[in-house]
Amino acid sequence: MADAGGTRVSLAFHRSMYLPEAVREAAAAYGAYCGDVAIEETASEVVVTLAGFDPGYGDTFGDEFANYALGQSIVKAREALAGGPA
Amino acid sequence: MSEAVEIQQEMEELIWSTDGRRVSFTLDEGVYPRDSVYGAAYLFLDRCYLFFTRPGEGKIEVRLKLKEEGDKASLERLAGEYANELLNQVVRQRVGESTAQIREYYMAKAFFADSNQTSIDALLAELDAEELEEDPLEIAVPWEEPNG
Repeated sequence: MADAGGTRVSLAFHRSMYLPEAVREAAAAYGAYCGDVAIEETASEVVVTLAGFDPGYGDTFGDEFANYALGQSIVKAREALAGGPA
Repeated sequence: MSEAVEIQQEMEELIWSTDGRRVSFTLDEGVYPRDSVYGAAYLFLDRCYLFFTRPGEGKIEVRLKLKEEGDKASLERLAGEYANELLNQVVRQRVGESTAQIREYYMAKAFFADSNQTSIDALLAELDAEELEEDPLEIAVPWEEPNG
Protein backbone atom coordinates (compact mmCIF):
# COMPACT_ATOMS: atom_id res chain seq x y z
CA MET A 1 0.00 0.00 0.00
CA ALA A 2 1.28 3.49 -0.75
CA ASP A 3 0.59 7.11 -0.02
CA ALA A 4 -1.96 6.53 2.70
CA GLY A 5 -2.72 9.77 4.45
CA GLY A 6 -5.66 12.05 5.22
CA THR A 7 -8.57 11.43 2.99
CA ARG A 8 -6.58 10.26 0.02
CA VAL A 9 -5.11 6.85 -0.51
CA SER A 10 -3.45 5.29 -3.52
CA LEU A 11 -3.28 1.53 -3.92
CA ALA A 12 -1.33 -0.36 -6.58
CA PHE A 13 -2.75 -3.81 -7.28
CA HIS A 14 -0.50 -6.15 -9.21
CA ARG A 15 -2.41 -7.84 -12.02
CA SER A 16 -0.98 -11.25 -11.23
CA MET A 17 -2.54 -11.19 -7.75
CA TYR A 18 -5.62 -8.99 -8.23
CA LEU A 19 -8.01 -9.40 -11.13
CA PRO A 20 -8.64 -6.00 -12.77
CA GLU A 21 -12.39 -6.65 -12.88
CA ALA A 22 -12.35 -7.38 -9.13
CA VAL A 23 -10.55 -4.09 -8.48
CA ARG A 24 -13.02 -2.22 -10.67
CA GLU A 25 -15.87 -3.90 -8.80
CA ALA A 26 -14.36 -2.75 -5.49
CA ALA A 27 -14.03 0.77 -6.88
CA ALA A 28 -17.71 0.77 -7.84
CA ALA A 29 -18.72 -0.50 -4.40
CA TYR A 30 -16.56 1.99 -2.46
CA GLY A 31 -17.21 4.90 -4.82
CA ALA A 32 -20.42 5.60 -2.91
CA TYR A 33 -18.38 6.34 0.22
CA CYS A 34 -15.81 8.73 -1.20
CA GLY A 35 -15.80 11.87 -3.28
CA ASP A 36 -13.55 10.65 -6.04
CA VAL A 37 -12.26 7.34 -7.36
CA ALA A 38 -9.60 7.25 -10.06
CA ILE A 39 -8.41 4.08 -11.75
CA GLU A 40 -5.23 3.96 -13.78
CA GLU A 41 -4.31 0.74 -15.51
CA THR A 42 -0.77 -0.09 -16.53
CA ALA A 43 0.67 -3.26 -18.03
CA SER A 44 1.45 -4.74 -14.62
CA GLU A 45 -0.76 -2.88 -12.16
CA VAL A 46 -4.17 -1.36 -11.56
CA VAL A 47 -3.68 1.78 -9.48
CA VAL A 48 -6.69 3.06 -7.59
CA THR A 49 -6.79 6.46 -5.91
CA LEU A 50 -9.57 7.05 -3.41
CA ALA A 51 -10.12 10.61 -2.24
CA GLY A 52 -12.60 12.63 -0.27
CA PHE A 53 -13.77 9.93 2.09
CA ASP A 54 -14.70 10.50 5.73
CA PRO A 55 -11.48 11.22 7.70
CA GLY A 56 -12.90 9.12 10.52
CA TYR A 57 -12.23 5.99 8.46
CA GLY A 58 -8.49 6.70 8.40
CA ASP A 59 -6.29 3.95 6.94
CA THR A 60 -9.11 1.46 7.40
CA PHE A 61 -10.81 2.72 4.25
CA GLY A 62 -7.94 1.67 2.00
CA ASP A 63 -7.39 -1.55 3.95
CA GLU A 64 -11.03 -2.55 3.60
CA PHE A 65 -10.94 -1.66 -0.09
CA ALA A 66 -7.89 -3.89 -0.61
CA ASN A 67 -9.53 -6.77 1.27
CA TYR A 68 -12.65 -6.42 -0.85
CA ALA A 69 -10.62 -6.44 -4.07
CA LEU A 70 -8.65 -9.48 -2.88
CA GLY A 71 -11.79 -11.37 -1.83
CA GLN A 72 -13.41 -10.73 -5.21
CA SER A 73 -10.21 -11.74 -7.02
CA ILE A 74 -10.10 -15.05 -5.13
CA VAL A 75 -13.79 -15.77 -5.72
CA LYS A 76 -13.54 -14.97 -9.43
CA ALA A 77 -10.32 -16.96 -9.84
CA ARG A 78 -11.96 -19.99 -8.18
CA GLU A 79 -15.08 -19.61 -10.32
CA ALA A 80 -12.95 -19.49 -13.45
CA LEU A 81 -11.08 -22.62 -12.31
CA ALA A 82 -14.38 -24.43 -11.78
CA GLY A 83 -15.74 -23.28 -15.14
CA GLY A 84 -18.12 -20.82 -13.49
CA PRO A 85 -19.25 -17.31 -14.43
CA ALA A 86 -15.84 -15.56 -14.22
CA MET B 1 7.70 -37.76 2.24
CA SER B 2 10.85 -35.93 1.20
CA GLU B 3 8.66 -33.25 -0.39
CA ALA B 4 6.88 -32.68 2.94
CA VAL B 5 10.19 -32.36 4.75
CA GLU B 6 11.35 -29.87 2.15
CA ILE B 7 8.23 -27.74 2.71
CA GLN B 8 8.71 -27.81 6.47
CA GLN B 9 12.28 -26.64 6.09
CA GLU B 10 11.10 -23.81 3.88
CA MET B 11 8.51 -22.90 6.51
CA GLU B 12 11.17 -22.81 9.20
CA GLU B 13 13.10 -20.41 7.01
CA LEU B 14 10.09 -18.13 6.56
CA ILE B 15 11.33 -14.82 7.87
CA TRP B 16 8.92 -12.03 8.63
CA SER B 17 9.43 -8.42 9.53
CA THR B 18 7.14 -6.06 11.36
CA ASP B 19 6.85 -2.32 11.78
CA GLY B 20 4.58 -2.67 14.81
CA ARG B 21 1.36 -2.27 12.83
CA ARG B 22 1.75 -4.89 10.14
CA VAL B 23 3.83 -7.96 9.49
CA SER B 24 5.24 -8.91 6.10
CA PHE B 25 7.12 -11.79 4.56
CA THR B 26 8.11 -12.90 1.09
CA LEU B 27 7.12 -16.25 -0.40
CA ASP B 28 8.67 -18.19 -3.23
CA GLU B 29 5.88 -19.02 -5.68
CA GLY B 30 7.69 -22.22 -6.65
CA VAL B 31 7.13 -23.53 -3.11
CA TYR B 32 3.85 -21.78 -2.34
CA PRO B 33 1.67 -21.65 -5.48
CA ARG B 34 -0.64 -18.69 -5.92
CA ASP B 35 -3.75 -20.83 -5.39
CA SER B 36 -2.44 -21.87 -1.96
CA VAL B 37 -1.66 -18.26 -1.08
CA TYR B 38 -5.20 -17.37 -2.17
CA GLY B 39 -6.71 -20.25 -0.17
CA ALA B 40 -5.00 -19.17 3.03
CA ALA B 41 -5.78 -15.50 2.36
CA TYR B 42 -9.48 -16.18 1.92
CA LEU B 43 -9.65 -17.71 5.38
CA PHE B 44 -7.92 -14.67 6.90
CA LEU B 45 -9.99 -11.93 5.24
CA ASP B 46 -12.24 -11.57 8.28
CA ARG B 47 -9.33 -11.54 10.75
CA CYS B 48 -6.86 -9.10 9.21
CA TYR B 49 -6.13 -6.83 6.29
CA LEU B 50 -4.07 -8.48 3.58
CA PHE B 51 -2.11 -6.97 0.76
CA PHE B 52 0.01 -8.71 -1.86
CA THR B 53 2.81 -7.26 -3.92
CA ARG B 54 5.32 -8.70 -6.37
CA PRO B 55 8.82 -7.76 -5.25
CA GLY B 56 10.41 -9.91 -7.96
CA GLU B 57 9.92 -12.68 -10.46
CA GLY B 58 8.26 -15.66 -8.75
CA LYS B 59 8.04 -13.83 -5.42
CA ILE B 60 4.94 -12.81 -3.51
CA GLU B 61 5.16 -10.38 -0.63
CA VAL B 62 2.38 -10.84 1.90
CA ARG B 63 1.47 -8.01 4.26
CA LEU B 64 -0.87 -8.68 7.15
CA LYS B 65 -2.36 -6.01 9.38
CA LEU B 66 -4.52 -6.70 12.41
CA LYS B 67 -8.05 -5.32 12.33
CA GLU B 68 -7.94 -4.73 16.07
CA GLU B 69 -5.19 -3.16 18.14
CA GLY B 70 -2.33 -5.56 18.78
CA ASP B 71 1.29 -5.81 19.81
CA LYS B 72 4.33 -7.38 18.19
CA ALA B 73 3.51 -10.77 19.70
CA SER B 74 0.04 -10.79 18.19
CA LEU B 75 1.46 -9.84 14.78
CA GLU B 76 4.00 -12.66 14.98
CA ARG B 77 1.23 -15.03 16.02
CA LEU B 78 -0.84 -13.89 13.05
CA ALA B 79 2.07 -14.48 10.68
CA GLY B 80 2.65 -17.93 12.18
CA GLU B 81 -0.99 -18.88 11.85
CA TYR B 82 -1.07 -17.66 8.26
CA ALA B 83 2.07 -19.67 7.51
CA ASN B 84 0.49 -22.78 9.06
CA GLU B 85 -2.64 -22.33 6.97
CA LEU B 86 -0.49 -21.75 3.92
CA LEU B 87 1.28 -25.05 4.51
CA ASN B 88 -2.08 -26.74 4.96
CA GLN B 89 -3.25 -25.31 1.63
CA VAL B 90 -0.07 -26.45 -0.14
CA VAL B 91 -0.50 -29.99 1.16
CA ARG B 92 -4.20 -30.00 0.24
CA GLN B 93 -3.36 -28.88 -3.26
CA ARG B 94 -0.64 -31.49 -3.71
CA VAL B 95 -2.86 -34.28 -2.39
CA GLY B 96 -5.63 -33.04 -4.68
CA GLU B 97 -3.32 -33.11 -7.67
CA SER B 98 -1.91 -36.54 -6.85
CA THR B 99 -5.37 -38.10 -6.39
CA ALA B 100 -7.06 -36.28 -9.29
CA GLN B 101 -6.81 -39.25 -11.62
CA ILE B 102 -8.41 -41.72 -9.21
CA ARG B 103 -11.21 -39.23 -8.44
CA GLU B 104 -11.88 -38.84 -12.15
CA TYR B 105 -11.89 -42.63 -12.52
CA TYR B 106 -14.50 -43.07 -9.78
CA MET B 107 -16.66 -40.28 -11.17
CA ALA B 108 -16.48 -41.77 -14.65
CA LYS B 109 -17.38 -45.20 -13.29
CA ALA B 110 -20.30 -43.80 -11.30
CA PHE B 111 -21.71 -41.92 -14.28
CA PHE B 112 -21.03 -44.27 -17.16
CA ALA B 113 -21.20 -47.79 -15.69
CA ASP B 114 -24.36 -49.96 -16.17
CA SER B 115 -27.17 -48.70 -14.03
CA ASN B 116 -27.65 -50.24 -10.57
CA GLN B 117 -31.23 -51.14 -11.41
CA THR B 118 -30.06 -53.58 -14.06
CA SER B 119 -27.76 -55.29 -11.55
CA ILE B 120 -30.54 -55.59 -8.98
CA ASP B 121 -32.95 -57.00 -11.54
CA ALA B 122 -30.37 -59.58 -12.62
CA LEU B 123 -29.74 -60.56 -8.98
CA LEU B 124 -33.44 -60.95 -8.25
CA ALA B 125 -33.92 -63.07 -11.36
CA GLU B 126 -31.02 -65.26 -10.28
CA LEU B 127 -32.51 -65.72 -6.79
CA ASP B 128 -35.92 -66.55 -8.22
CA ALA B 129 -34.41 -69.22 -10.44
CA GLU B 130 -32.55 -70.80 -7.50
CA GLU B 131 -35.67 -70.87 -5.33
CA LEU B 132 -37.61 -72.69 -8.01
CA GLU B 133 -34.95 -75.33 -8.47
CA GLU B 134 -34.07 -76.13 -4.85
CA ASP B 135 -36.12 -76.43 -1.67
CA PRO B 136 -34.01 -78.59 0.71
CA LEU B 137 -36.09 -77.63 3.75
CA GLU B 138 -39.32 -78.26 1.83
CA ILE B 139 -40.60 -74.85 2.76
CA ALA B 140 -42.74 -74.71 -0.35
CA VAL B 141 -44.44 -78.05 0.50
CA PRO B 142 -47.82 -77.62 2.28
CA TRP B 143 -47.84 -79.01 5.83
CA GLU B 144 -50.75 -81.34 5.12
CA GLU B 145 -48.97 -83.25 2.35
CA PRO B 146 -46.31 -85.11 4.39
CA ASN B 147 -48.53 -85.34 7.46
CA GLY B 148 -51.62 -86.64 5.76
